[in-house]
Amino acid sequence: MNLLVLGYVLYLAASLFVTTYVGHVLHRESCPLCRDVFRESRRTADAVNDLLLVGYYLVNFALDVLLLRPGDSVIEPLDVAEWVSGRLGIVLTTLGGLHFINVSTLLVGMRWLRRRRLRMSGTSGGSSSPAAL
Amino acid sequence: MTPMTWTYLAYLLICVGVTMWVARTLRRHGTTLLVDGTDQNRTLADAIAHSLVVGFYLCNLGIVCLLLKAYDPIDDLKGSIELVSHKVGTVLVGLSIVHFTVLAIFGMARSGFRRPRDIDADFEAAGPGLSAPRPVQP
Repeated sequence: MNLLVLGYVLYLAASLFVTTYVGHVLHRESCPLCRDVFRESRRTADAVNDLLLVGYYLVNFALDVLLLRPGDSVIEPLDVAEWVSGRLGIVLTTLGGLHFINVSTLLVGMRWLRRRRLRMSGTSGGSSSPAAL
Repeated sequence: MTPMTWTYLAYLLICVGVTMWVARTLRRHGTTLLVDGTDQNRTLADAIAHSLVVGFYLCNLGIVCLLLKAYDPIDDLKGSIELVSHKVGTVLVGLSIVHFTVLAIFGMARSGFRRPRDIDADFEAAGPGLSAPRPVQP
């Protein structure tokens, strides 16, 4: 087993673990947010949440596997560390950027739906739970 | 252990430490920022704050990993200190950009928690029977 294979194994283990773990945490944390945005139906909210998770897994597993290419020459153990770190860096930064885009989209949707609901229901409907909006 | 390995270790320690410190601060004050110091709707605010902090960790650790590789080999302490300070400086600039992005998203979420101004005016006009808007702090 040469050094590059060791790098591949390390990289795959780290990136797949991080992708799965972060997906799990975000799925758990985005549940209240989705339920707030789609408050008419809890099942719709959970469905959207699950669909977002599947999309997240698809994009990120694809990215993880796509980046599994040999870079420059890997001769010493330190080269393996540099290679793994560079690839993990690409994966983590992309993951974080996509995550910010997702959260911002949900927040914009939350604000938009909230204004529309208040406008359509008027002041009497809006008084039911103004703080929860 | 070559000087290069020590340099990498020092760089990783400093950068991960700073990232964790900023993320903990964000986590501690993020929820308060969202709910405006009140206890209303704390679950939702906590969830938003937590997921934003996860994104903060991802972006920053990604930047730290991306900037690890040094292209010029070093062999003495002077070169090592210069390399670490250069890299830590770059990471700190990236960290601050991500931090301000997160704060902007926090601001967006915060305005989502409060009522829009025109509807506030309607609430005020409707009288005290409806829940009154929060007084604006000077």
